[in-house]
Amino acid sequence: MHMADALLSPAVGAAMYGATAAAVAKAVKETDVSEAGQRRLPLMAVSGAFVFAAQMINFTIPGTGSSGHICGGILLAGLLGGGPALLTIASVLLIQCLFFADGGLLALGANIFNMGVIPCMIIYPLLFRPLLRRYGEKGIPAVTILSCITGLELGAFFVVTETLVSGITELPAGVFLGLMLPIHLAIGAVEGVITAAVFACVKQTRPELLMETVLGNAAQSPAEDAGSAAYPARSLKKTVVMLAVLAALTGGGLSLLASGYPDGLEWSMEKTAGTAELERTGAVHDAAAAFQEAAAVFPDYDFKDGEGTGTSASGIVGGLMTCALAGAAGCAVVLIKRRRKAG
Amino acid sequence: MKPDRTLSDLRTLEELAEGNTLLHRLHPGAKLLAAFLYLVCLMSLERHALSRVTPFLFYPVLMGTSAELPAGLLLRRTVPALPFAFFAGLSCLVFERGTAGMLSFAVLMARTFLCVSAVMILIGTTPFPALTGAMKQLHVPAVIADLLEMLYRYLSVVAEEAEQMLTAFRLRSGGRVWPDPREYAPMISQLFFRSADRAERIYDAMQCRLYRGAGSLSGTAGKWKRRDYVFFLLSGGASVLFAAADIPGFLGSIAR
Repeated sequence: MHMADALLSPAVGAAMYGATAAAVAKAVKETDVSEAGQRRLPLMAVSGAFVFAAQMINFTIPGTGSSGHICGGILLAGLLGGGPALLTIASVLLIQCLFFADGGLLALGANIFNMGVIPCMIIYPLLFRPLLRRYGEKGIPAVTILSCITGLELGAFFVVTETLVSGITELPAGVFLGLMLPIHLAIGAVEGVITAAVFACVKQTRPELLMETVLGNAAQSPAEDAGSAAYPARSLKKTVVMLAVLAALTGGGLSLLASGYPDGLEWSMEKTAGTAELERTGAVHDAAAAFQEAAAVFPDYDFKDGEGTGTSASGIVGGLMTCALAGAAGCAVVLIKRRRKAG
Repeated sequence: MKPDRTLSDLRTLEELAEGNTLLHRLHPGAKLLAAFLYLVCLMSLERHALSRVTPFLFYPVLMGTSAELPAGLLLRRTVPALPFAFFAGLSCLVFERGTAGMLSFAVLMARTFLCVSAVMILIGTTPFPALTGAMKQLHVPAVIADLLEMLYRYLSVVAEEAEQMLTAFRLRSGGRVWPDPREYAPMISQLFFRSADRAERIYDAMQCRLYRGAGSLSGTAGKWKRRDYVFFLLSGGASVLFAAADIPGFLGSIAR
């Protein structure tokens, strides 16, 4: 799910940085940085290293420019709590971005939002904890799987939204979603099973690691839940209604971006009518054709004015000259350094 | 991505970052902001403007040669990012027909390569503690800066524990190379516990050596010097100029 810089416009990147910064600020406030809290720093760092290793196993999702892999947000939130988990995921993504070119620097805000804020600051407090309080310890596996799937699906949805709003790719929204969501559904299910298994093993051998988070929530009934200052009790019903409203609003908005041009139309017409284009007859057809001619951005597979910024002869010649100049500058620097070392 | 190759490249980048060229001596904050501005300017170009991407080649070429970074290593580190851009670019070829689609594809690939190169050059010329120190100067919370450093160090802790467990498994499993899927969960959990225990011992050793919480681990990056301001103005100004003006078009019109 790591997005590269090339797939995000500066405006969308800046907006996601802003949203992520607000969430990270909240997470820093929730993280205990006192001397007692410092004892958890090694656990946070090791958990992050673990998730880093798990995310190394990834594969390309064709056509989208994104990758499919385990996220680890719910695992970290279960071990550390929502705020510390977000800080850990943010650190993991920053190191992946800087050292391994996995995700861009400009897209870092978006990546932290999609893979950190959503599972740790949205799914964990609004879905994972309320469901655990309702179903207790027996519900840990199912709740974990559901939370992982929901987190990854929401993250994938936001990847699609951010890429489409950036206007970098021509991939229609329907196709993009059709590629991302089913794959991340499968990944979410696998991640949920692995996370639930890890929780089960940790609960058996080191239950104290889960006491404040998973086991603590599973032990609380709705009547007994005092509602801590950091995690006030929330109604599951309200949460579901809110998510449904959000889904309806964003889905309705995104439908405006959906492409209405099926690529197989001309092929189908060729097979059925023997021609790729129907002959125009009547005033309605003439009006439609006139509108199309006016609205077509690239008539005859060329730019409308016949000169594009990249296709004009001047642009090509200038581009080649610039490349040559850059190469010459690099060679000059190398030669100067060699002479200095020799002299 | 193979773990041993990954860690090997990490160590190579660490060694390169300890170099002594002019670029290495620049303030990490200046380099970080210059890289950021470069990325923003590069991404602000129109998506069919292939020729206008070419001036941005100056940054990685000049910076890479000045810092004496091996071109092979830089290219190798940019390769992992290219498949994602390639497949995203394929959608441009399919849904945006003709010349426009090809230009979008080429610009996407070029941008990806340049963006990743810029980040690799930043890492190859700036030691990680200096980078986290610069982040603190830019008001990133100290807990995040220290978490970053500890996470970076503990990557090798987890890798070493994993290698030890795998070796022990292979010696005791009667010829099996990899565990069964049903053994993954217990092994992963054991790996986590062993790594966490070792991390706590390392942390206790750090405390014995006067580590006293957030702020004492990350170094301070110091103040900007005149050369840092000059570097930032030159590189930032060039990035803005390349984004604002069609320099290849101008050169081309002169040549014709």
